[in-house]
Amino acid sequence: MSAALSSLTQGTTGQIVGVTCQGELKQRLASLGFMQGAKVTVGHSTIMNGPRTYTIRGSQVSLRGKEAASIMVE
Amino acid sequence: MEPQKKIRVALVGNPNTGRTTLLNKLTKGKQSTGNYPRVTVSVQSREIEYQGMAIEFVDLPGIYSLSSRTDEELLSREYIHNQQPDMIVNVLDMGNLERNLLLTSQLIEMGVPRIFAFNMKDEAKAKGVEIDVEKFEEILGAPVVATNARNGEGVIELLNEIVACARRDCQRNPIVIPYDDHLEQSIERTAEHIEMLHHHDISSEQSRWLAIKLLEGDETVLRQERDHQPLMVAVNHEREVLEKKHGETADMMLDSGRYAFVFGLLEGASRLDVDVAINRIDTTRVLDALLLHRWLGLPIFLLIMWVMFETTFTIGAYPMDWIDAGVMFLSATLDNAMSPSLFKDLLINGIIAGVGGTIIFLPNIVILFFFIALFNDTGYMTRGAVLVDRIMHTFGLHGKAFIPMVTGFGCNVPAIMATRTIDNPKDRLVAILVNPFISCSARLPVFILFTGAFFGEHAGTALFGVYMVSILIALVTALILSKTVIRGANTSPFIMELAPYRYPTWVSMTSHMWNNASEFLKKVGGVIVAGSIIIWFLQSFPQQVPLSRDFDTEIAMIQTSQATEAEQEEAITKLEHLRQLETQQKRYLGQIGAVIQPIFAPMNFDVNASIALITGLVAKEVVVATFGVLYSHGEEVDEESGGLRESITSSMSMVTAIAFMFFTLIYVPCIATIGVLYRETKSLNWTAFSIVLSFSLAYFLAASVSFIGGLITGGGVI
Repeated sequence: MSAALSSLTQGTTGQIVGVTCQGELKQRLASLGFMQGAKVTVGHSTIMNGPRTYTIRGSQVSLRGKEAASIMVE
Repeated sequence: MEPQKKIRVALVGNPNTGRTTLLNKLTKGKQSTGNYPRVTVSVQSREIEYQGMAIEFVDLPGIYSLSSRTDEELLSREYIHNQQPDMIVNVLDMGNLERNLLLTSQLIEMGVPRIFAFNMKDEAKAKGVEIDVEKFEEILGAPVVATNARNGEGVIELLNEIVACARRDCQRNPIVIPYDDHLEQSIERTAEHIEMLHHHDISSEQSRWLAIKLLEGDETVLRQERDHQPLMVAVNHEREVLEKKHGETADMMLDSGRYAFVFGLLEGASRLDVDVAINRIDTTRVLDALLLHRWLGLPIFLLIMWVMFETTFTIGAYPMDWIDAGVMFLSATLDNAMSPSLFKDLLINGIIAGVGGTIIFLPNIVILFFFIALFNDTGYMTRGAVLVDRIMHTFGLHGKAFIPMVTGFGCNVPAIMATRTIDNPKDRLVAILVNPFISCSARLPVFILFTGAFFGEHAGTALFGVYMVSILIALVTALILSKTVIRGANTSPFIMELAPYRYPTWVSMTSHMWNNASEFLKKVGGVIVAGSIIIWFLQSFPQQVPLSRDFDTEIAMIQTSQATEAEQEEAITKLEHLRQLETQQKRYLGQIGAVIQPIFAPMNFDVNASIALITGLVAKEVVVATFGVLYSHGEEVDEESGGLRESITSSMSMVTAIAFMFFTLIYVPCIATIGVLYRETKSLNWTAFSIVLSFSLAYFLAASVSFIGGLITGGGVI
């Protein structure tokens, strides 16, 4: 079962099965390692559904919910 | 002896890999030889001589890939491709090779002679990362040097490798990154097509790179080749077929291939010491648990911001006083040494007064930039942006816009320059346009004078209110701008890497502060000198103006009158004041004031207040000095002057004073800010827009204050 990365709870890890956004955003996410097959762990979250942090390929990256919603994990 | 050969070496790598620290170590003690400013990024270069060879190092901005999407990527790729450096040094964070090697795989494809610096060896070791250098050299086809830029470890080896590589003419082993079969066939077909177009006068590496870039959909390369219609058609066809067959775009397939290459490389040449990895204490993790805490993160952030403010103002006050004393000493010395002349007046009351008034803010700027450098170098800056992004986003601003806003409390000039960290041009534009509304320290003297004059013991609270109003106006303006004229702003994604916390290095901190301080002095110095001369001229000419009364005769009459000496002196002083007032009114600046005053009629500003607002265009602190000159209270005028306070309270009502403060807060900050606004937006239209916006908003709000205040007080003067 795949779910959006934004729906994962803090501390959980998933494997990316697809990235649904297109173009430049997809390319930027890919250059940071958000690509099919990569493992990602949910780190910190901020109040009022602000950006969250994720651990991806050895580094910590922050994304808003909107961007994280386009990354599908299982 | 053979003639000295100069080689150019570009440093390329991900952000936060210690490139600049490495540059500092490689070029110990050398100043920057050149600065190539671009739209949002600038490139530093430094030259050294090593083993009889001149080496110019060029520090390219930190990038994650070479896909020409951001300004930094575009600049780096264009530099490597068009300027053809003799060699590139690819700097990698050895503790985070997996992500760093993606860029490496793209650099390999570009086929530039290269050396790899695996930096931050100590951090990697602490993480338990162990690498086989020889294996890496074999697979990457170029020398690999493990370095630790922070303490200089491996720097000599790197220099030796650069020189050796330059001497043997940089032999390079072409490395081909293998892709999926279908993709590989597409690349080959496209490369052949390109070779044909170039009549086979192109290296196979070069044609393969162009083919990959075309299939990737790289806009720059597509634009370059758009005249070759058949090639374009073929490329589009290849891309469509690939996407149909694999359900994935070609650029993603290429990145997958690159990651697969990286993965294989790491499998074969590195290993993780699990014992070390598990047992280590991760400082970043511990700190982030507190600083990025869901509930504590924001309060801690606000506390840190408050400390920054407090320090900027309190610590900054000491050197400000010293500079002020120095400027006053210089004025006094020149005043004594020179005989009265127009030139002396220009020098002391024009140039020194103007430049001196600006230069006293240098300490604040240096302290603010110290904090900004500290936040940057430790990695806290990015955490701050994460914490406030949600709030800023509500008002149409990007999370990264918070540092320029904070900097604006010191001075809007470096603040507008600090918006360079925002990638999206539209988001950056919003951040630039609202920045002048943030009350800079130059406006502080005006507010201290006025709140002191009208609010008595509540002056401090009133001053705090001014700052709150300033933030509110900036946020609301940002919201309105992003919903109207700059639509499309505030849509850019928030993607930011949070690098591990690191100790800042002094070299980097001091060079950051020095660069910003000298830039401030250079740019502002020119504008301030020019503006001061203009204001001085308008205030001093025409030298002789026809006066309504013969003051000299009247004074002579008083001196010969029967009155006591004290009475005579009082009468003469009064006449002198009247003469100065009338002279000022009849000089150019006074004439302009008389023309302009009716414009300010809705706010009940008198001629003096109107003139003060005009002179405040040069710099806001001039407003106080202008009041001083116009109310003729003599030389020593500053915000503490009791006499000036009395003159102001007697010349306007409290409502008018509040309206005046609103106007001062909102209208164009100063010539220097307009200058930097133009320099950063590169657009006369947006500069004009900012001026019109600030004037009309200042006018509207000040008039509203005046009108509503008039209703409340029943039109009477209180």
